[in-house]
Amino acid sequence: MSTHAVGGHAATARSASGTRRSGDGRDRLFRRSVTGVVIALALLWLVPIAWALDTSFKAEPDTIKIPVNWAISHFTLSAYSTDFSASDIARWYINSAIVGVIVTVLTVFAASMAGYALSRQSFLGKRVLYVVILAGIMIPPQALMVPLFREFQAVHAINTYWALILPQVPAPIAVFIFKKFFDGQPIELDQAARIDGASWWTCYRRIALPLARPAVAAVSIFTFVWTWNNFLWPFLAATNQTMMTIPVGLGTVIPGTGITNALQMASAVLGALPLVMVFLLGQRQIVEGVAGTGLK
Amino acid sequence: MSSPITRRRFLTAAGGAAALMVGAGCSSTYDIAGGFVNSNSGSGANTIVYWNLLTGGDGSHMQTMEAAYRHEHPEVNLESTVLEWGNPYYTKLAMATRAGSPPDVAIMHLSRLGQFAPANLLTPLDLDVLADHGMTPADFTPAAFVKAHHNGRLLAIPLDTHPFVQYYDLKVCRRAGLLNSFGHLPPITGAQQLVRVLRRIKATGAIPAVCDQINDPSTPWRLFYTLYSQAGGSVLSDDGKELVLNQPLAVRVLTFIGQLAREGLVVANEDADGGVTVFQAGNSGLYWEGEWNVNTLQQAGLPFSMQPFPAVFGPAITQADSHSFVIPVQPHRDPQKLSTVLTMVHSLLGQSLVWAGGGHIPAWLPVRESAGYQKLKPQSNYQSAADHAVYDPPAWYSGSGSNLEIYAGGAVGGLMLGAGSPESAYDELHSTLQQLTQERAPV
Amino acid sequence: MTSAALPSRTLPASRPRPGRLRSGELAGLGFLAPFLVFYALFLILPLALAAIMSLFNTSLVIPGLGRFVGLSNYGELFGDTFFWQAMWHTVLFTIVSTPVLVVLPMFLAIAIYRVRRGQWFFRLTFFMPYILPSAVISLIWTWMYEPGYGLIDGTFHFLGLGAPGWLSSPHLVLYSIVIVTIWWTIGFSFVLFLAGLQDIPQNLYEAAELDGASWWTQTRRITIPMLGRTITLVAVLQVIASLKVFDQVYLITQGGGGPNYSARTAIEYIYDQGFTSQRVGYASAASLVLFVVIMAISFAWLAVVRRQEKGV
Repeated sequence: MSTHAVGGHAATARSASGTRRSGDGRDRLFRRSVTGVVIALALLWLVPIAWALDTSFKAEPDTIKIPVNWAISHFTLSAYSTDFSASDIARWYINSAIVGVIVTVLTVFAASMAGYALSRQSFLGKRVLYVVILAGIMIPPQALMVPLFREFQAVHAINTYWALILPQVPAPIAVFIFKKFFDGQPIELDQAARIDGASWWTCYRRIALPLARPAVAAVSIFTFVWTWNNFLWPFLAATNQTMMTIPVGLGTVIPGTGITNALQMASAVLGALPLVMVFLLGQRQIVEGVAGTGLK
Repeated sequence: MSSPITRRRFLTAAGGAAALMVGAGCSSTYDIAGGFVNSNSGSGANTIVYWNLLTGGDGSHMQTMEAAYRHEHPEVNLESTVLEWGNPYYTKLAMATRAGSPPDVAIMHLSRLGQFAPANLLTPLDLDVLADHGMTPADFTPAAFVKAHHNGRLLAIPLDTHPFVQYYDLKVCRRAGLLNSFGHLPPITGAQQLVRVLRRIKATGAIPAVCDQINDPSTPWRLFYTLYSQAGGSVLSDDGKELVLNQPLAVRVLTFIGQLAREGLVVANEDADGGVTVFQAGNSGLYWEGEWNVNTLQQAGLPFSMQPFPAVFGPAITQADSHSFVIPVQPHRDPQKLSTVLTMVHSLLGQSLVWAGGGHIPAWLPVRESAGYQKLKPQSNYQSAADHAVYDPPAWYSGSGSNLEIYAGGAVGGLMLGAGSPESAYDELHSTLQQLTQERAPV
Repeated sequence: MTSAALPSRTLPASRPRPGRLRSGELAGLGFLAPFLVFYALFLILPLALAAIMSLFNTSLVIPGLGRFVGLSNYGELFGDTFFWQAMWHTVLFTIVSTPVLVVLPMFLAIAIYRVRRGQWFFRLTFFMPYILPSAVISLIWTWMYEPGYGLIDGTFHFLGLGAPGWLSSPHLVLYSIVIVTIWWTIGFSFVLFLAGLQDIPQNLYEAAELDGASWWTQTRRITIPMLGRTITLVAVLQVIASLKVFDQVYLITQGGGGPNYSARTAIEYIYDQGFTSQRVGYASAASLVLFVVIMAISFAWLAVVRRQEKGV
């Protein structure tokens, strides 16, 4: 991790030589315009979400007024209340929450143990197994959809939470993160405890895991977001409306009748809300997690 | 680094939210435990799970009918779900049935039976049981009732027939001197006459005919298939395995379509919504589409009427499809549930006048032959189309919104914009359909 | 926690005694077991099943494997114009979106990295779309592209320009979806670049300052070259993600693959074959072919990275 403060370049721009060159002025103009472009892009980037919010607060007939404009003549939350009454979105929230939480717990559990084993313990075939696990990252999940469907069909578990939860648990990336994390931890604590006769389980539970809070946080948030957003598998595995998760419900069921623009935007906003909250609270972990996985 | 306090607050908040949700879930409304145990016994005895793909005006009418049924039968909990039209709906229905948790009753286009029947996904219906619930074969439009069979077994209960029709704008046609003394457009017979009519409309400065094709391959398909069937052609053999396109006939039809387009007699540069909007604006003579836009046009206050599509190349045959009720195969037979479902179907059929208001021709003859329907104008004008309907060719990849329609419609659509030649359109039609026939059938 | 904080112990050499090795071995496998069970059941087993099904005419709705057809599914795939059309759309999608999704986030990261105040605002703005579900962004953008009433059409009319058929023109729909993808996924690469920038030693810039180099020169001569590894990483991840694109294409075209299937990508074709046409055996063969292509690219990347590391 670098130690300089972000943006500290501005301070050093006034160079030690003290002389102002004509290039400085041009340079500053260039940088200012770059910043201007970036600000413009950032505002542009906000437009879709702003537009969705704007539409969701309009009454339906106002959404099809020509010319198209942002003005909200009658601010109303009726789209949101209709969404709750006309569709099963409340149920989908619950399904997404249950599946998200359980997958996260199971993933952290299984992946941290696996990462610990690969980092700290030695056993036959360790290296081979690690490579096999990492190779899983390359498997395109869509190729597995039909066989997975068949698997769950065979045990009559389609349309249950099990079908939604279980296939989402094995995440080689999570193992990778935990292993790298444990690798970076000093081994002395574990070794000391082992010499004192502690079992591996105690080492893991009492020493390694508490120290792994950053990795646990990153993997938890990551997994929860990714599970919440997962579309294709839940789409196939939840054929009944009552078992759908939010993305599936939003992408499959047509709520309401007639003009439903505000209604659809309201459901989009509702579908995004929990994640935005998770993101705002766990921003740093997500960002650090994304960066960490990629670079190593 | 996030301070521990922030993280703790986050975890507490998350935990609280989760607890709230689980708490809500434990209430009987949400039955979380049921989500873990797949109760293959289906929905409760007094619940009917009903899937359909009816949106827009159809959706409103269906909801009106459902409300009336709920009023009649308050002891039954009718759970109705509307899913996206087309392939996604049928995929979901097939998979849900295969997975053992299908809806109790679902809407299905009769043209889709070719995909579901061979896979044994539908419950055969017993005529005696149907009679017990007030439905006999004589109560239904014969063409639709026959189509509802597969290999001799009845698999569906027809609700309606929805054909390809011709709308005409009264003001524009009157200005072109085409209306008779009753203010109606006399039936057009033959290609020559149709071209003459269109030219006269064009001479008054109006758009002769609107027929959309953008993002809507079903419409060009319907136009082609109607004309081609009138000329006596078939697309597939009866077993659906062989492509039997009659090249001279097909090219003749395609040439006609191309000629209309090139002469500006048909405007096709719109999508489905655009087509209605253009006709609604009141400066077009004819509009070729399914009948389901009748309410939209009435609400816009346009003076118009409707009639069967002209008999251009032969007898007045038109492409059509039918909505029907099907009962997917349930993991456990439940005669009680079946009875409740059939009662519901009978009730909805009894309200076919509401349904007909949306433009469809009721398959339930007691309503179709009633005075109420006969007085329903312009909907009752084209009721003969139900008796002269030609359904999509029989194949597992065919039906409303299927790959057959998408590919074939794509081949014809370009021609409707005046692009390409009839021969190239035929080649594309032939090769894409050929490829479909050669795909190994999964059923 | 650094090692200075721990009580240091002198420990024997790390190789454990034979007795310890065996118990460690069992424990190790035991710790790995939960993950391996999930992995075997839900990743390995389905993959093997897919390989097997590709040799049969398996149907989605009929139980069992169906008729054995050997390699003829693969043979049919070879001559399947629709498949190659879909592959072409995928390649086109990749070619068009990847450069933008490498250069733009890099530009943004470099520009924002120097901003002192409000960096959190930019991070939020560009990264936030990435955490939204595909269903949400598809709803939002379908509404944005709505003919007549959508914001984009509205803006075009306001500016006096004619509005093209964003989602209805076969020539445009794929590019419309590329635009959505750029908006949606830029945050991921953006963050990777931000992290990569942090690894560039400060003294390089300080030396350049002393030489009077402008910001642009510094960027060109120091920043971009030093980001080499990140650029490669981002490029490969983007390519692989583009090859696997499905969600937003399926949702925005409402399962239809666009007018005339002009936006149908490889995975969507596989989905269509497997779930719409119910030909699961055939779809499995197609997905295995795609899998091999993705693997080949991944291995090629590994080779490039390895060589890069040796060079650096």
